[in-house]
Amino acid sequence: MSKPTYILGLSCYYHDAGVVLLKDGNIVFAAQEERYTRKKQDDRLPVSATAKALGFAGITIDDIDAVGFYEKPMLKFFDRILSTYFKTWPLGLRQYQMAMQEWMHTKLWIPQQIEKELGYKGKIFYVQHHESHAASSFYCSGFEDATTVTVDGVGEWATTTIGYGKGKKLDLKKEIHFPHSLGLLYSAITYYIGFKVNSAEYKVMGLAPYGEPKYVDQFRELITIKDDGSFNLNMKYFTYEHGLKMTGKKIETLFGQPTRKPESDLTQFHKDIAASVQKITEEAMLKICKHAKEICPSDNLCLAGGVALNCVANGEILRSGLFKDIFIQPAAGDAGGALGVALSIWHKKFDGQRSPRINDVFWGTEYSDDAIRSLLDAEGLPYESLDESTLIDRVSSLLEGENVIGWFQDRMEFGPRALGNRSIIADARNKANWKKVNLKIKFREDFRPFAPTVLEENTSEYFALDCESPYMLLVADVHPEKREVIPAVTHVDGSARIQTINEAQNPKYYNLIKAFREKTGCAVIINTSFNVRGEPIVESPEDALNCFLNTHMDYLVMGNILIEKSKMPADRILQSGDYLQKFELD
Amino acid sequence: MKLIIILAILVVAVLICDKYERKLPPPISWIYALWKKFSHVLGIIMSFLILTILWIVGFGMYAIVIRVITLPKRFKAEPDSYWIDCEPTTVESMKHQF
Repeated sequence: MSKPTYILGLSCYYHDAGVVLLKDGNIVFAAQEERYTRKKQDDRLPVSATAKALGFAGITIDDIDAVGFYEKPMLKFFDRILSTYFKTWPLGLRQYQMAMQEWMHTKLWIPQQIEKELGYKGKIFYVQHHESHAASSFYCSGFEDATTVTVDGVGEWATTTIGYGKGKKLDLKKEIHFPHSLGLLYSAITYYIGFKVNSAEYKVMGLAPYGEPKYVDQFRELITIKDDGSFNLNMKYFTYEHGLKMTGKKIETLFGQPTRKPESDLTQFHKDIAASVQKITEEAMLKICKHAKEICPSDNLCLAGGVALNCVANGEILRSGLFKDIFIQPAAGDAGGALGVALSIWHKKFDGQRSPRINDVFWGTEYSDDAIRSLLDAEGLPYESLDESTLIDRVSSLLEGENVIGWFQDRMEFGPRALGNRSIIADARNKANWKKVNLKIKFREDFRPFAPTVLEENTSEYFALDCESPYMLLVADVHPEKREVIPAVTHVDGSARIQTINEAQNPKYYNLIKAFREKTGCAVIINTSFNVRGEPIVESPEDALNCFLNTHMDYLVMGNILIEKSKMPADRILQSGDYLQKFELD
Repeated sequence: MKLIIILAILVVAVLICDKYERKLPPPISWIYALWKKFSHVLGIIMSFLILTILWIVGFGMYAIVIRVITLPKRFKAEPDSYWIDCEPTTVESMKHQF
């Protein structure tokens, strides 16, 4: 029997570092570094995640046949970054001082860093940033052919691309160059509204339904969008080319309000700005997809890049009917680039076979019930070990009402969403759960909406959605008559960011919701990521236990083990202040 | 000559300390830790100075030349589209960082 081909894909040194291990083109393991280092969006070389990947596969770094890096660092530095400095000089000294030290010290030494930190001495391949994104979507989609669209902040030069994939071949056809970037426009407004850039863009999306798009005309001054979807930013309003901030005084003059200070009050103005940037983003995305269909015709669309996490825009693209089928890479951000580069190497260098569409993203670490029991015994905490059917029955009963439950199962999800293995779950029928989970468990802003998980067969009963959405990447309306039924997951505009689930994707989670439906008649529950604000999603039983003990969560289920908060020793619970201080607010 | 010999001895001493950092006995480990902190601060100051000089002189001259050369581009008419054709990639190009 011939030795299998192992390919390791890496993304790091910007934000959201990740690693992916392929064995003969199949995804064996994928995880973000932040989950292990407990530093949100850790951008360092994913040393811990790589060790876990190799350990999971039972191999060493010497068994790896090729390593891929998700972008071309020399092209990025010597072409785009230096050119930008020449363009903006004499402005930009402070950004240059910081960037040069980082580049000289680390980012220009990728092969050396990989050899030093991972012990790998073999071949390294480099794929352009947006090609990695496009590959991560197309090769996972199972489509024989597809139009690809990638939109994010910036890679080397490209910020937006259109491409076409057929079989093993994938080519990018058109691109838009930095500094003109839809992702950076969204990030700039994220900064202007007082949220953390490269981290809290999703909050702007969540805030938008509270506002009216009153500032669209002013946004037309910021961005020119052509009919073919290409766009150009008016750079006099942005400072990210040369400064350490995204925007300056000119944008404050344009909108007539100063930049909001982080954690200060959110006013109607900020909500209207969020609604306006969301409307502009949707308009641009629709036009880009329309043009993509014209120049790279296909019935199928593959989306990736950070802007593809904008599920409201994704919903608009779906409803436009431009494409018969859409696949959005669940790890659409930079971590997904690790997957894209690994798959590109497999198909282009090794001429490997295509795989069918991915069924789920449960590709991370897992822990046995024995490991969980060992932890709880060592901690001296009481628990109940149950068989799976009894557990499902108990938890589905506990879900009714106001109980909030930590749900930790099997392998961790890859990408930014918790999809039922590292989740906090609650009853979607109880509106009080919205506030309770936001303020007492996640310790986050009260405007933030929650996503529902719905049994796939019941989707159209609750939502105006006639396709699956297994990765929580599509927003659709809740039927008006159901909005009062599931108020905890219905956003103020009557929409919801939906996760559909079927038995093949996650049998245990599916059976839990099915049991809940049998008891209550409701096929929908709240699903939010298992973490507090600023914390990476929990990875291990220890992380889950810490989060459980230090929040107002009522129950924790890890594997087939049930832990009840009311039975915990009083001196072990609710040191929330100390716990929260460990994590930087996003 | 004496100064060069002293400097050479110091450099060799630092290199040896660097190689066997974890095995150094006190007080050599303390002295070496102090030296590392001092050299780190020195490094920050030196890199700040060198980078600033490079910014003013090197980048400045080149930036001015580029601006003069690209001046006609500023008066170009607004394009019909901002899309740019992508350069095709090959397996060979995947081997390079550029």
